[in-house]
Amino acid sequence: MVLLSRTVAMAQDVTEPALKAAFIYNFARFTTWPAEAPAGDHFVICVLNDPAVAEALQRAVVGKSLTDRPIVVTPVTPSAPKRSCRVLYMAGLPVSQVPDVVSELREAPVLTISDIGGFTSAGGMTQFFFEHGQLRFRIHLESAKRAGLQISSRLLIMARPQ
Amino acid sequence: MTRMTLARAACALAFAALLAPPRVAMAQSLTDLSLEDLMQIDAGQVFGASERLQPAIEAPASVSFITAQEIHRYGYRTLADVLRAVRGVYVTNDRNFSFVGIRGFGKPGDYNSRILLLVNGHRVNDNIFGQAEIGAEFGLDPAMFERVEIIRGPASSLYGDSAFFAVVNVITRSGASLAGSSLTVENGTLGTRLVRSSTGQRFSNGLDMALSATYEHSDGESALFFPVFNTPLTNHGIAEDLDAEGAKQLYGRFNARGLTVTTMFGTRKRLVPTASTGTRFNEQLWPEQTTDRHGLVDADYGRSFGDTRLTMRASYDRFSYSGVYPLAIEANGSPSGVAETAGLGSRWSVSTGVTRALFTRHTLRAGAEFIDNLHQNQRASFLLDAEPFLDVRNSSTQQALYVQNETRVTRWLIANAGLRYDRYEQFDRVTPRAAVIVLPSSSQSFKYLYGGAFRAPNEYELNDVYFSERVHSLRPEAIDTHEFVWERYFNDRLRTAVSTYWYKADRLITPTPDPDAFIGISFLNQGEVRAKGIELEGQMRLRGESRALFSYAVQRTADRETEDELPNSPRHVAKVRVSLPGPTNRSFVSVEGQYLSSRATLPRPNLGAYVFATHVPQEATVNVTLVQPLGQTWELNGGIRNLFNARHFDPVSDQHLQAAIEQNGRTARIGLTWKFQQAR
Repeated sequence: MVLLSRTVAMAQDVTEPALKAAFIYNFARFTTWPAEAPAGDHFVICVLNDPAVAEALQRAVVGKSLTDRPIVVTPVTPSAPKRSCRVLYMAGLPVSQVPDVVSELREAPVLTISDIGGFTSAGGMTQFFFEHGQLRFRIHLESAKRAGLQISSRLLIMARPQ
Repeated sequence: MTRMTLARAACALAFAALLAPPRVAMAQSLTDLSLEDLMQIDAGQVFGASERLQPAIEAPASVSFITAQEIHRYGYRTLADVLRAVRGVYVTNDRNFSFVGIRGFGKPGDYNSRILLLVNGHRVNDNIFGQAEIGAEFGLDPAMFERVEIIRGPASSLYGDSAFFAVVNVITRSGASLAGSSLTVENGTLGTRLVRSSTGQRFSNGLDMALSATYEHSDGESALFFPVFNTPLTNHGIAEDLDAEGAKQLYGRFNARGLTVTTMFGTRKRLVPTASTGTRFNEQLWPEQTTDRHGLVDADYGRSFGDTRLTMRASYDRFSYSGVYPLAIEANGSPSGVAETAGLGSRWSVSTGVTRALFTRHTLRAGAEFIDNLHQNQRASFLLDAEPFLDVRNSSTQQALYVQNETRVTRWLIANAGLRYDRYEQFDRVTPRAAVIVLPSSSQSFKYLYGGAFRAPNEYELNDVYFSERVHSLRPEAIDTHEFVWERYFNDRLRTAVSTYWYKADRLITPTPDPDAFIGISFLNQGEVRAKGIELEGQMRLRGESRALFSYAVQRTADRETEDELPNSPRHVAKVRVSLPGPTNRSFVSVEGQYLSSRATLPRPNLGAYVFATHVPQEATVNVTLVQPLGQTWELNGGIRNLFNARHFDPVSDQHLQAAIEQNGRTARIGLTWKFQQAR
């Protein structure tokens, strides 16, 4: 197949939290939640341990909706219940603590995202990493399926292999 | 435009950008971009500031990047072109080598030994001159650069020798980045032609591979006029057909399972039209010329164990150079007065390092390095002599240990400290660095940076055959720098940076007359320089894919004793770059302008009424480049350098009779690329 990819690489005018926020929003757009996902009036994105990303997300989702619900961004503490989140982004934890957070969700339909190295091996679904200064991601499809989440093939083809 | 109005205009622009961030929606917001586009965005991560990836806004340095896309859009052909685009950096050329000036320090003829040049984090300054080769002699085609990080300030606490004014880290392209094959053919004025072919791919099993080969040749100017040689005996100052340059470059990169092997080999041959080092002017039979070669094999392995990352590295570099210097030709045409020089530098370097997060607040990096300089050989002889008059065969070893720690004291405060111990055979050095970084929000930072650095005397300077035994007492040069940096992002489409610094550089290794020495000079640790400066930068993402950047640096760099401004030290350096889509779909026009204020030349006694006896005039040059895709597989690109054909001159070393050498007028090139791109 012959494709000429559009090059739009730009330099240094975007902060990392803002870029991560835009990715997180896109991950949510390309995910389908099961019918039994938490009801409620809002689409809740929870952010654990990363005020900068929380702040960037809050700015990014103003006026935006997903699953016909307005998006709200909620910073959460490690001890707070997270099963009502649709998306949970976490950062700044040692990878050894990831399984605790993930197991607490008990396969609730929560899309977990992180930039912690080894996140997908520790039970997480989506992991950011950098390659030549650009943001890339891996997806652990099995974990997502277990939680009843359907991830669009558009997202999957852009993910890097595990 | 006069110097003052331009400087004022730059200041006004800077403050307008700083104080009045555009609140209007000029560009698409990030969430409106597709995931494909988001994956192309550069997130401003820097590796070389701390030997690990971190956001530039948190790094203990003021950092600039040039990306592959900018190299493509602005048509940069050498690393020197790339560096010319960077805030506060200026590059001079003596029609043989290119020399970097930064922070007002650009001693003519100094072989870039106070800049550390890295390829993917590995040192590539050679081990005879300590030279960072930034012209075609660098040995790697800029089309194979993924990005170039310019990390300002001393960094010997991490890298040791040469990281004096800045570190330049060239990150090379991977197979995933090339994602296909391409063939480029270029033609240009001055008999310039280039052929490049590259291929790269990441396979589904994780193996990533990139390969490229480049051939480039330029005939150069057919006639160059040097007023200082304007006598009937020296062809009235005209050097005919002595400006040619040719380069060949090979590159390969393989990555699998955490192991990256980078290989490169480059060779460049250049005729030298300037009759430097007292050679015969316009010599046609035995023209003055130099050839430089660099080969590198670098294996880098990294693995993470939980919160610990371990890296191991082994590299082999081989540098060689040769030169022909027609000092005299006898009446019967015998070349007995033609000198040949040759050098061979080779080294093994082995290093290992560990990065570990500790107690969630600390990131510790510690490492060790061992360098075995197998060959540091210099040789010089007359063509017909059986024995060389210089034959130095040296080898040496160096060891180093370093540690640095970053502490996140609170959400908004980072403290950074580093220390490195370097051991040479003649001396050792301990170099510190410290930084305090305040982050009021994720889009703003204030940094206070303190750093020391050293530059060891190099093998060339330690040559006691040329420079007498006095050079045995040479010790490393030292620098201490303080810097304040303010970086800010506005609405994800404007970034501004302000940096102010002052430094003192002492024990600079300076040539001094010495009647005992073979060539009448020796080196002493006696130069002392004091400098201060302020630099401003603004970078914008305008509507669609338009980009703009301006930068301005003002500095005063002076000799401590005489308080005279240093030679080749412009007071003002200003740059503007704009890249706009159009005129047709998917095409881009990119324009850049560069301004340097007047620069002093090295003092040249006894040169009479030569026009640039003390200064070269201020200069402004403009380059324009067009990238025009043709269908899905072809792309046309063309560029004009020095569009307005401005006359400009660079100060050069005192190996030349010329105090300054005129640079090229308007040149143009046009190229066609065929691409076959793999789907991701």
